Amino acid sequence: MNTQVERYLAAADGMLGGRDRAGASAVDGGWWPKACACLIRLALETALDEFWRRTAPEVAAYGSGRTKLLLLRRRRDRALAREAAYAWSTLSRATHHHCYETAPTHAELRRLHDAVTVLVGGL
Amino acid sequence: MTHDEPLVELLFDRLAADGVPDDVADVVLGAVGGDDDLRAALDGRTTRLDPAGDGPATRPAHLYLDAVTVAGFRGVGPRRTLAVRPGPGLTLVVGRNGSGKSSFAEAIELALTGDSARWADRNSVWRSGWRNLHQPDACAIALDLRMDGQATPTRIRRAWPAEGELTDATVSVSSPEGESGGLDTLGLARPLRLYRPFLTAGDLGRLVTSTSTALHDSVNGILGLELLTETDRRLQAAAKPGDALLKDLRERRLALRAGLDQVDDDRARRAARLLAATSPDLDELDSVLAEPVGGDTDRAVALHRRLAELALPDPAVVARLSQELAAFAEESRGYEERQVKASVRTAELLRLAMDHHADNGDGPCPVCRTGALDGAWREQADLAFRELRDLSLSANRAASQITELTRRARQLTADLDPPAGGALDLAGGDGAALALLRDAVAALRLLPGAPAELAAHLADRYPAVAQAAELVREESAAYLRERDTAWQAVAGELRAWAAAARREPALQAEQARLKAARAWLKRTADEIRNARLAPFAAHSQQIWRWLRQESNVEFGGMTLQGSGTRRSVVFNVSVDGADNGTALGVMSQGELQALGLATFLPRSCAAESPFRFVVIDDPVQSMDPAKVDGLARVLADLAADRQVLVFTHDSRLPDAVRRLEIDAQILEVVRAERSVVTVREAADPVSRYLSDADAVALSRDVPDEVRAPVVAELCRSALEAACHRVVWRVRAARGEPVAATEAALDRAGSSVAVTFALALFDDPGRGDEVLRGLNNRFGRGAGDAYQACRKGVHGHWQGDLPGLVRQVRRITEGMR
Repeated sequence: MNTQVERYLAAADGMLGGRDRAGASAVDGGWWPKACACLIRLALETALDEFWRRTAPEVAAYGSGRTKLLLLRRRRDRALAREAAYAWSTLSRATHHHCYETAPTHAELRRLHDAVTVLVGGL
Repeated sequence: MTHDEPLVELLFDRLAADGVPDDVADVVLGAVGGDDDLRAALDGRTTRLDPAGDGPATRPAHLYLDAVTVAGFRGVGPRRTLAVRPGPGLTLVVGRNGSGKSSFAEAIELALTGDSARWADRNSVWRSGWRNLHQPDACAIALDLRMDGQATPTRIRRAWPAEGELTDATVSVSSPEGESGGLDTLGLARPLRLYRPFLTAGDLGRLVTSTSTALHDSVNGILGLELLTETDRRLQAAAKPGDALLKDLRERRLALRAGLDQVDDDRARRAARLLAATSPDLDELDSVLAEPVGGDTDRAVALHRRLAELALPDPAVVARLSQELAAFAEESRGYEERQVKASVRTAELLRLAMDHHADNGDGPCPVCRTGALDGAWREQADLAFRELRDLSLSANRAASQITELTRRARQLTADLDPPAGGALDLAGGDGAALALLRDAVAALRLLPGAPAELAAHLADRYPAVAQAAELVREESAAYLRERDTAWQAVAGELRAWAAAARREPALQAEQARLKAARAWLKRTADEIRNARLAPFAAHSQQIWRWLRQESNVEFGGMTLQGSGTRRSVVFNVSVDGADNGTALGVMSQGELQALGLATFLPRSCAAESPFRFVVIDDPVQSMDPAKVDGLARVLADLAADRQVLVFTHDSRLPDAVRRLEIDAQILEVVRAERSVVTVREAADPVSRYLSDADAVALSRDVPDEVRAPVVAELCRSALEAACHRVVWRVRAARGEPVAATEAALDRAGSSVAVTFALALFDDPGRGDEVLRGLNNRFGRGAGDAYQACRKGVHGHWQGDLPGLVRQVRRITEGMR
């Protein structure tokens, strides 16, 4: 597994728990929810890129994250693909500015973090 | 107790204007003041509300919220303080569900009301979860209130011991006046009930789901008219004991009257006649009751009374008389008159002979000439002379005794005088004993002449008289006893009743006053209610007009109808102009919520309320965006002279506030793991993203590969927010409906290019031209930054992070 993916997840985990220095300063600063979402999504994206680079480099080179996810349905079981698509779209929404939406809650992020950790393993 | 002054003054004015008699007006005002005052008014004492009495109660100072501090309570773990500006203005507290924002709202209400029951009743989650899971031991809330004109805030603190129940809190209040252990000293209980400066989604929901009577009471309270209801209730309650007493007096009077009919007594008959009147003459009754025993004028009773005390000579005395008479009669029989005469003559002869002997000495007897008168003769003659004298004296004494005793016997029989009156006069007995007595007396009076026969007659006949007399006495005494016992028994009850009935006129007057007071109050309350409701209804309608936006529901205010168990609130709601009474049923949840706000906000912001703040928890739950804009306007309007604190779970309201350029303090609440809650000011999304991005860019603790994507993401969000701001402004100026703008931005979605195209060119189709556009408008650095953001979020860019934030800030400032 890619160590970079692990590092993203570890950093996100630190923020969720407010544990290491980086995490603590994120919690103190109040910017941890967005940062967390960003890192979890990045972990998912990076793991996905990794997967495609191993199995079909031409897909990895393609820019659209959405396409990469859609194509996953043919290579992996539907449940995993569906889970990945859900996590990605949720995280993606959280990392953009939207009308009337505030940062995801701690519980949501924790759930997404767990889901992505499993997904990364599955890929 | 605090008085609801304006209402009291209004009542004063109305009482004067209506020319209500003083004694009735006093009762009304007494009932306004409370049970004690009402009693005082009825007793003619001075009431506290009396205008001539003490000065008016001071109205509590205006109160503003200063800060609320929460620790270990609900969603908040370590101690956090939510501070607001203590004065009029709008403050929004934004936080996702579960962020802990509602913990602050609930803490404010709980601290101020101390009404744990209301909270415990909410739901089981609340009951078991009011302590924070992560920090269950140090559980405390504190509310700082600013009394207008006081430099030192008043702090209400409520702390729970470890393991304690919700009701086990220790309360302390420290105010400029000093410390105290309870909320009572603040005198806010009644204002809290009347004005209730807290509105929660639950309360608004209850408006819809509550029964009509409960709503009536609630609206009555809103209008500050509970006072009238309470006053009426007091008047009603005050009339109850009097009513019961009067009823009891009436029932007892009728029962006594029936009872008196059973008593054979002149007094009972007269008392019964008196009791026939609805208001008997009590003085007359008292005088009947005061009549002494035996003082009555009833003929039969008088006869019985004489008979009962009938005194006849003692049979023993009569017997002795008879015996003596018999004895003397017997004795005198021994003294034959002839013999006595001879004795006297003999004695005289002897006395002369003895004189002769004394003069002449011994010699022959001059009478017989044969015998001799000598010393021996003289001795014999002396003895014989004494015997003869004694005999005549005894005979004389016996004769005079017989004469005396006979006289006494005749006198005694003559003195026997049994009262006249036949059986008819003796209602109580049959008169047989009296007849017997009279017969016996008549028989006794047939006196024989001879002393011995007289004595025997007395001895024979008198016992029958004595026995008959005894019989007569017993009979009459029994009659009198029975008659008096029956009367005395009923007289006791009658006396008690008469004493109680003395109060009847006063009671009746009191009941009349209470009745008049209630009648006046009912009439006046209806008028006051309508008058009071008018401005509230107008305010409600105004709020509704702002909130309704495109709604086809017309709200014509509301009216309170009926009373007692049939009281209800009628909302004059019509849909598309048709009011068929079912309009409430077809309103959407959002419309009902808006209606709730329109109904409840005027109450919380009543002019008389000491609370200059209103706390609204999540008012926008089911509102559509247009209504949210309306709500923002309503809140801004209120915030002109009220401190409005709104808790909301999404950013619709803050966004609307920003769009409408309403001055507001916006606080954001975020809850991290272990209930670590942060409260921070969120100026506007753009500057917040930028300051976050700055913070991350400068966080050397975080590895570059982690920092870069986060900074890129925050910068991208800042750009998007800046774009949104432009889009809203441009489209609003063009008169575009809110929903259309929202839809356009929603369609742009996660595409930064499309979002920028909307902002730069007002055309979502020109995403390809964004990079060139940015370069043209803001220079090459802008385009680079734009690209860095887009790539960076995917981990495909690394570089000068603070520099990137600077570039992005420059762009957002240029897009203002």
